Amino acid sequence: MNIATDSRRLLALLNGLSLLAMMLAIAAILTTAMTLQYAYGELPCPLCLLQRAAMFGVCFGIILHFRNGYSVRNTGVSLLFALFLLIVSVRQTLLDIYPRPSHSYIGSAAIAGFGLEQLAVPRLYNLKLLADIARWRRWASSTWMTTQA
Amino acid sequence: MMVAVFASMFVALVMGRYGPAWLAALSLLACLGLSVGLFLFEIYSPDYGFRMPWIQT
Repeated sequence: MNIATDSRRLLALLNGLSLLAMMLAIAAILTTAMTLQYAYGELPCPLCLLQRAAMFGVCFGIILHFRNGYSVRNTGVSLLFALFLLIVSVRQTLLDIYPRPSHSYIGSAAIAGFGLEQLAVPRLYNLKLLADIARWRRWASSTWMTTQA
Repeated sequence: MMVAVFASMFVALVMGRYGPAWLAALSLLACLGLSVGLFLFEIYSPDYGFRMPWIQT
């Protein structure tokens, strides 16, 4: 077995492991949020619910990876929802930093750092996307060199 | 509207498992569109929204 096949298998394994870790992180965040809601009676605000929907969307793309194989289309689905999650979580973090004067609500996101965790999901996904782009560029340059030769 | 967001996500999950793929993609896009619409409503609604008029930019 040659080295190229081995390295390709290793990359595929690392790709699957990173996707699995991302899905586990999102599942842990969602489980914590639901436990706080149903066991401790902390009702979520609309922005929290929108962030949950966005995290489900990111998971949807990752599940499609595991079900149908790796595809740029599935990455696009996850990336769209990750971008939406980033926008909503930045909005909520700003609200926690500057609460409304009429009702000075300091959200649990600022105290427990949930906002930072939710911000971390799109950051992780962007890091993974950058790694994918670097791998694609390596592959494209090697293909180009092969065709030139 | 939040119910519609989660209902369309549920339909997308079910269709992704049992139904045609185009219907799952359509439901997922509907979910994203409804979410964006709801987020914009939350921002710009003067009564119920989360606008920040005290921040002078």
